[in-house]
Amino acid sequence: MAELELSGVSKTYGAFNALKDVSLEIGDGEFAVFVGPSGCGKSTLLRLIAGLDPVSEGQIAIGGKDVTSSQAGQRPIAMVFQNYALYPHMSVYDNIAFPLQMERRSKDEIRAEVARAAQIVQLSTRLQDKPSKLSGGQRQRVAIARAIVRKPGIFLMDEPLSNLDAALRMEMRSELTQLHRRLGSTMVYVTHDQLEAMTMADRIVVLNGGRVEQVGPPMELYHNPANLFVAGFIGSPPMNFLAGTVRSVDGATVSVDALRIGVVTLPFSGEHLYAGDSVTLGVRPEALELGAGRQVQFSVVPEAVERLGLHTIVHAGEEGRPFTALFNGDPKLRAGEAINVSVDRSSVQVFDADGISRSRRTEV
Amino acid sequence: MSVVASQSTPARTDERSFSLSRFIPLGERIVGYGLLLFAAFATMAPFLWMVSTSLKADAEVFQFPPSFVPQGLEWQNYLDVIYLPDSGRQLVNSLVFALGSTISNLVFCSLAGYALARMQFRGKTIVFALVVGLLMVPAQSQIVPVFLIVQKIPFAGGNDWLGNSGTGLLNTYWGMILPTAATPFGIFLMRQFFTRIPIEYEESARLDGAKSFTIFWRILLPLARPAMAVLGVLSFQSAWNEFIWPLILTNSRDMATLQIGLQLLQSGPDARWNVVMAMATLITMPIIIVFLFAQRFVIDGAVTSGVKG
Amino acid sequence: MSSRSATVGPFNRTWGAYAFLAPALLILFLSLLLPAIATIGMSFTDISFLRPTNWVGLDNYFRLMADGRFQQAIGNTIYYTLGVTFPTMALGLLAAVALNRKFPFRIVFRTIFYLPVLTSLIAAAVVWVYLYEPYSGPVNGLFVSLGLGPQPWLSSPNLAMTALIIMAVWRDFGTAMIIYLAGLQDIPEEIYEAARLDGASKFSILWRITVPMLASVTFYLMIILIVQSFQVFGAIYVMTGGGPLGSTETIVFQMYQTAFGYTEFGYSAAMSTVLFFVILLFSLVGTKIMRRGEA
Ligand SMILES: Nc1ncnc2c1ncn2[C@@H]1O[C@H](COP(=O)(O)OP(=O)(O)OP(=O)(O)O)[C@@H](O)[C@H]1O
Ligand SMILES: [Mg+2]
Repeated sequence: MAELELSGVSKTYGAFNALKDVSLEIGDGEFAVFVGPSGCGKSTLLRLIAGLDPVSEGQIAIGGKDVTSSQAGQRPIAMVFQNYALYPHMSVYDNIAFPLQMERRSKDEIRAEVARAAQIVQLSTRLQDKPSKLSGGQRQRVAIARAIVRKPGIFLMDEPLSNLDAALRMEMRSELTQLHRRLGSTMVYVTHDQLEAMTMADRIVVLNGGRVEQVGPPMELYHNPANLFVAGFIGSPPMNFLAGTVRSVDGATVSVDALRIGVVTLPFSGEHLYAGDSVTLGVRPEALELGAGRQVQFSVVPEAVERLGLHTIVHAGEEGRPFTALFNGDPKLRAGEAINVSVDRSSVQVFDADGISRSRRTEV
Repeated sequence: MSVVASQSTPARTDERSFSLSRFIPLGERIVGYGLLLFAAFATMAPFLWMVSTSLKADAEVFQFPPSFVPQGLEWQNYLDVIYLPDSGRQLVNSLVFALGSTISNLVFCSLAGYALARMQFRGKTIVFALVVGLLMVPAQSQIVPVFLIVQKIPFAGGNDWLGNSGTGLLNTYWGMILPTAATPFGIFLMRQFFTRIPIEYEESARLDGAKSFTIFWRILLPLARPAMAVLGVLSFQSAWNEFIWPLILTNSRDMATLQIGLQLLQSGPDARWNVVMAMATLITMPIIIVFLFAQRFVIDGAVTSGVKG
Repeated sequence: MSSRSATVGPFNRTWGAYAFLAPALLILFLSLLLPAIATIGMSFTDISFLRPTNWVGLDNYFRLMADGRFQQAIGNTIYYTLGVTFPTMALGLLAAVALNRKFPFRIVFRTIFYLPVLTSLIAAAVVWVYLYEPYSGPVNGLFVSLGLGPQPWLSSPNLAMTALIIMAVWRDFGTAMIIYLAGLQDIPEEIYEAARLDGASKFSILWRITVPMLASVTFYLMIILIVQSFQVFGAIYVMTGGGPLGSTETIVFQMYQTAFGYTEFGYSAAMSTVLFFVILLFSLVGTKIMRRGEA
């Protein structure tokens, strides 16, 4: 009952356009993640949904109801802040109880609700402590419990894990996913960490410069990025880009002459592409294979080799353009010694001069 | 301004630890300590004389040169002060005045400071500029008009609606408190403090449905405790020590404060120095005690508020 | 649900803000703004509440210019102000430099130096009247034991003002110390270390580094002290009553006497206005300097 609909939402601060014409629909119970580089407007968008700032243009509807002009506290949402915003002078109990007290619920009811929420986040024993006595992860859970008691239609979370160390972040990631499954409510989650986005999201919204670049399930964004920005942003290490020129287009294949790999013929219809066009080819580091087992073959000279055990990352940048390859296991490689690599034709992506993907398979 | 620095700096002074003492030769250190001790003694001398004289018998007071250490301890002087016909009344007046002024400063300055720090409203810049401007208006040069305004408050003290034909708030607690009930400095202090509290607390409370006053009362005011302590101590100190407003705005014996009482006692026909000094000691002690207590409290406050919550 | 426009509706909390501000602003209006305006207005009248009030234009100001007593008061005020301001700053700086490092009992010394600031003006004044007492006072006691003759401190036109200044410096240098300590905290420690490595002596570090780096603090402090000294009243009221022979009569004291002694409120308001603008000028300059220091 709490789907979220943004139509034509814009936000300006003075002359600065923080958000430009954002339209989105997020379904009931969905886990949506806003991701994008710093300053792209993620927090701003979240604050507009929360009602902390007024929109400059456009409408916001929650559960089918237009809430564009209702105040922060009147929208069926709860928010977890990046720095948790736990009231330092109140005990954990009072922090969690605060929203209920604002709703003027009875004492008994509040006690029951707080106990329930504390149990969900496993903090039942710490209710009398002040937030300053808790660890980072525990504070995080208090903030979540405070959101849970409101029984919101939508949970908003702004980089809730960014203050935690790596191990704790991984743990909290799966806890949040479980929590989402358990509560079944809509979640809108902001992060600039694409790994968090990939692992948690039902759907990812990639923002850049105040615009939505692409919306879709993680694997859709991974395999079929709509443009260069999304292709470069999703996936780690990031996709390799190779400049090239279109040789010919015949309706079923496109032949491109690209840096490093020379002329390749790729199995795309090549709509909107013409001979002579400048294009960029994209190759994921993990799509590369050692040796000549795949259709497109070329050689690179590793300048650094990082062995992680499970896989090995090879850096082979040339003329200032980075190039990485990721191989399984621990092959015998040495920096400075040329190696042959190969990749499937169908794994090579083509982006036109404007950065739009031309190899994207749109689902029918 | 000056005194706030006094409250907040000590904390910072302590945090910084550079110990030069290891490098300073012993001789120099002894000279340094000697000078400091001398300066401290010179600073304390008036207090020491005050206490010493307050414990002397009548005859000893007129001895010349005076003796620094009293021959006996004449506690009777203190009893004389306490049994002065007006001293009880004066104590009550001083307390009402000082507490009234402190409470009203805490309430009004924190409300106004919060509005200026955190609320959006038309004319905000103008109001803030006005407060900063009023910081510079010398209060003491306004004794005449303030007297007239207090006298002419409509409907008070037999006044008609134009403020005529009565005495207004003269000779009342309200009148004494009015000129000190809120200060531009207090508003400025609170605004600066509220500005530094992270906005997320407030936003989080707003999302939970709290209204402006609830946010102020339940969230921001408790967070502002260190600043409130500073403002409270300063307000209490300046009202307790205040002389001009009680002098001008009251003329009945019943409304005199301790400060006025001390001045009357000293300038009276049968003033005895030992009794005058006993009263001066009694008046000075509370403020020193409040400060010694508050110095720690305020420093703690400053330290705690610097820690992330 | 009411549908107000998104831009002003829910986010306009103007009226709430006014409610928060109203009490404080009312008090400031009654105790500072209206008086400041009223003083200026009254200075153009002969208001005395004993007879009907007349508009007298600039007469009060002309009278002030010819008033020998007022000129004496201005002279006294300036003398007092200069006499208090500079020694206070010098002592405050010395105390701050001495206390700006960690050593045992540092806090005790700081507290002792600050105690006079906390003392009420009246208590301090009364104590100092006793200290200055010509026949049994400790100051003369000290003078006699040092082989100097006793002095008629507060009853000599030559000495009374000096005696007041000494007391004021005693009361105020703690304020200067605290402000200087704050200023010293803002000087990066590395600068001192660099100077020490460069072989600078203690005195040249103080004179060539500390003092210049405290310039804006010093100026700010000077303005506070000047503004405060210009308004001196209580000490004079208690200690000398303006005497002997008007030698300690200052502007505010004369203002008080003119208004409440001679009920010449209009004339007193003219004095107040002159004082007000002089102080405002100093404050504005001071604020400007302070701003520059912060930037
Ligand atoms: N109140 C404001 N006034 C003016 N500009 C603002 C305001 N709030 C945000 N901005 C601007 O809007 C842009 C988007 O800010 P936002 O906080 O939404 O970024 P973000 O995507 O959350 O970045 P990050 O990952 O660093 O948190 C930024 O360029 C920022 O400077
Ligand atoms: Mg952000």
